[in-house]
Amino acid sequence: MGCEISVGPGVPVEPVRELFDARDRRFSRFLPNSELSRVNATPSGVTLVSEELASMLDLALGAARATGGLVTPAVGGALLAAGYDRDFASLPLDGDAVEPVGVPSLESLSLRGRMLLRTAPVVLDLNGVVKGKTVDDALALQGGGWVSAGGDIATSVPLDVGLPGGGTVQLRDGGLATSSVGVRAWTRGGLVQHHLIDPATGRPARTPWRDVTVAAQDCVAADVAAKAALLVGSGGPSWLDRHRLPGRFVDGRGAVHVNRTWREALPASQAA
Amino acid sequence: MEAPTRIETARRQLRVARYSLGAAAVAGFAVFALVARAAHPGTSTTTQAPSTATYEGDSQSAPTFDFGNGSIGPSNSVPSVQSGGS
Repeated sequence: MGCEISVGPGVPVEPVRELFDARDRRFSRFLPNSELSRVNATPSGVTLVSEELASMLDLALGAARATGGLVTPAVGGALLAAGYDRDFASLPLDGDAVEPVGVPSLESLSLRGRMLLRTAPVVLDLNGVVKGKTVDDALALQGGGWVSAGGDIATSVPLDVGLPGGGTVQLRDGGLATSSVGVRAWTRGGLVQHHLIDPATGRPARTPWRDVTVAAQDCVAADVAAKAALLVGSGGPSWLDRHRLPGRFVDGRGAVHVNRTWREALPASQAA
Repeated sequence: MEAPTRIETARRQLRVARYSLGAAAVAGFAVFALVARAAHPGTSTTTQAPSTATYEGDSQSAPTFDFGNGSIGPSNSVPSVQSGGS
């Protein structure tokens, strides 16, 4: 998944790396032999998928429903259209202009056991959930402590975490994740593109937030909520409040904002 | 012994043909049923790679995704890890 993995002191990191590698081999859009690539090669009709892919896709569909379709696995075609067609490390950072494509609705795909039905062409992208879920599974694999992958964290022990733009918070348990539009960004036709697609437009989201950090019951929930809050835009803080989730926002100028739930959890001196 | 008439011979051949057709239809249906059962995901006995998860989900069921609550508090220490961006 192209991210730095770290674990708590005294814990071997190799089993966690192997878990991430295995997930990458199955769920990468960019590896031609991954199961997801094979599923995407025929983007409509009925497909029998593995239990692992069915389980991850079911989680992604659950996340999509929980976010009102904001964080959707149907976004693969729009990412391709935006130019994100290979691993980010080898992606040309500049290129010709691109035309957005629409994001299919959730009604276009359904899952019955291991049977995937797509009634319209849907290129799947499971990055909305794979990394967070793998962090959670890695924590279970090592039996406690903490795991971080690219700054998305799951912990069963109190952990002091540095935040984008400065500052620190203690994550007592559960998950914390930051979603950013500045980390995986490139340009096409002079326009900045990034990996967080607004399903309403099929384009990379235009949002006032550069970084959104959320704490939730586990890493995948925190990551999905952070992505959703970023996509909601100026309403992101209240969207998180409605879900009783603490959120911290860094805007395009570097100013830090927090929502009410975050403020209530911390003394005023550390809230922002 | 009297040789069968042409009509009796034709009738016997017709009976044999009917029995053959019936037997073929029964055999064909049985083969179809066995293949359908073997191919069904719920009853398939096809050898598969060992799996670490058993998935029995259904996207038509009620939403299963839960955000829960985040548990944060003040920090007075040097951070052990940095939350970056993804």
